[in-house]
Amino acid sequence: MAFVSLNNLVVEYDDFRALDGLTLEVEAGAIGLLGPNGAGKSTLLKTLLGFLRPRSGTASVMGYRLPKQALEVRRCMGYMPEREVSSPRVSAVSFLAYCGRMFGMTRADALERAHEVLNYVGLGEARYRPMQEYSTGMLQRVKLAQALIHDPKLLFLDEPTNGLDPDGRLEMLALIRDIVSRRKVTVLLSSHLLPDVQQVCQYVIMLNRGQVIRHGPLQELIRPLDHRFEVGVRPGEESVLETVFQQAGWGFRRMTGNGHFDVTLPEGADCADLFRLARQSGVQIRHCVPVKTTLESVFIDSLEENEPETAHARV
Amino acid sequence: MPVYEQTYRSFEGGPPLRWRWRFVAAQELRVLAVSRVFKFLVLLGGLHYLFRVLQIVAFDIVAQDPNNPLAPLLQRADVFFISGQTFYDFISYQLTLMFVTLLYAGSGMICNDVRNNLLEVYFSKPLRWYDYLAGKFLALFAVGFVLTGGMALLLLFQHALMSPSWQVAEDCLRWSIGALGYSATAVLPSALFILLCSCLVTGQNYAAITVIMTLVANTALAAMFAETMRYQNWYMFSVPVAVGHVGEKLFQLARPQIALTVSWHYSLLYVAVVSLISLVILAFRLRKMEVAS
Repeated sequence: MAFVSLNNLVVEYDDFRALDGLTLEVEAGAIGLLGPNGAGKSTLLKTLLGFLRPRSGTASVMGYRLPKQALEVRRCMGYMPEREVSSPRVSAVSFLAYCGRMFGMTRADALERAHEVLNYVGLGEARYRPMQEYSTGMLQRVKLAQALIHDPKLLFLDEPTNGLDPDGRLEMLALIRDIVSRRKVTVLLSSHLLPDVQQVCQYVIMLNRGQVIRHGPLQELIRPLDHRFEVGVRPGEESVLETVFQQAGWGFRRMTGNGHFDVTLPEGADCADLFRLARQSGVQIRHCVPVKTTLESVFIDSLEENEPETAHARV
Repeated sequence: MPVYEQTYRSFEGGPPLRWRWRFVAAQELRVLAVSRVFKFLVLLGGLHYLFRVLQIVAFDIVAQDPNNPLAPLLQRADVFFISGQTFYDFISYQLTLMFVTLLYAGSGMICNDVRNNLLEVYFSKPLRWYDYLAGKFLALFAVGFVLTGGMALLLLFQHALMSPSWQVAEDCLRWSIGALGYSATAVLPSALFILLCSCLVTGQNYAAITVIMTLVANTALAAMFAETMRYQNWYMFSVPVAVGHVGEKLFQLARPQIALTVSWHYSLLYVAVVSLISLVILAFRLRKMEVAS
């Protein structure tokens, strides 16, 4: 059974169509939700929480139909919102125990679980202090902890690394990976930060203008290209190789940093032809690996295909 | 942030809950209970209550004891006499304190949650807008009621215990209903209107100012109409006057101070309409917030 299933889902704000006929099935694992501002990521999450009513189409989460069974959906999923959340006068323990009570836990159970979850997210002894004294990073952890208090099977994370310093960001991503791998929680991660998605997710869904423009397993999206190679030669022989490529009519560009060439083989040529050409010109190839696409390039390409004139400006 | 080896336990889900508002109410009361200002205001109310306890002891025990040398003095002093007026006055004096306490406790209840983005978190849990509203309202109502009707009921109970007779028991029962009705008539619109202002404006201070300005404007307008039209019943449109009118009738005071000639039912109806309008706007706004959050 798919965790999330959408069929021709349309959600509108007055005259603006935020989700335009979205059809999607999300299976277990870590799923990244990518898209430029206004693509419909937050609208999708809010629709899945039952905050927004679809104009048409159907949506179901873990078998529960939305918005009719929104309460059941909220009972079995956790949500970490994008914006900073704080209950200034109470401690994180008290706040989490309160959240736990909403799920039907007894007071003692809610308190125990609050301690466990706050320990798990690494808040330590700070959990007894009023939340008004917390840093942004600590508030992010509390936000994650409140989403985990009832041990959800499905977790919606909206920009979970917002406002974190580099160390905090890495730790948060490690925590999310741990939640996915050890707790077997299905995570729907919405983020603008492509490296975050690349580090955590196995599956990526790209949205633009309320529609899915591309989706698939991350490994497939960023698989090595069979006609492009990163080529490095003995120092001093770069100019020779450049001339050779020009004479052969092969596409290439010098890469910044290491001085390697990004070579695009012509139709019908393969890696052996590259080595043959180099040997004929007396150039020694010392490095040759297939070029991998990055998630960023896939994302930009997908946007360009979908909306060529504004893709770069938006990204 | 290390990912600890320890983890958290599984949770299979609790039983379906119906009255989730009680967690909201309990949390609000817990937050209020640690506030020094709130404790001070409740203490002030407690001091007045203590004074009335002493008054009842003086009237029911000391003044009735022929062997006590203070008895003749207390019997002559009107201030120690216990009647319906005593309990009406107690609640009336407590109303000001109750209003200030509710203003302190309630003006930030919703707007602070909105400002701190807590609604998005609460409504992502199995909590609906009506649970949230009921919890907030009941916490505020409980505070207001304890300070007025609750304390008045305790005084009545004490009076009935210290002066046991059928007549006193009958009077106390009648005054208890009066205390409940008067207190509820005062606390209900106050709590709802303060919550409404907290829901409509962006900050706690703005909400408090809005409540006070509305109250002043309401009373001033009622007075202005009454004076220009030369018709005293216009005063009924001031909420404090309408509440006082209801209270006087519920306690069946011998010398009422509010000079309205219309039936007290109209005052009660007016207070009910004000409360209902506040409730409807609150419900509409919160429902919208649940969807928009």
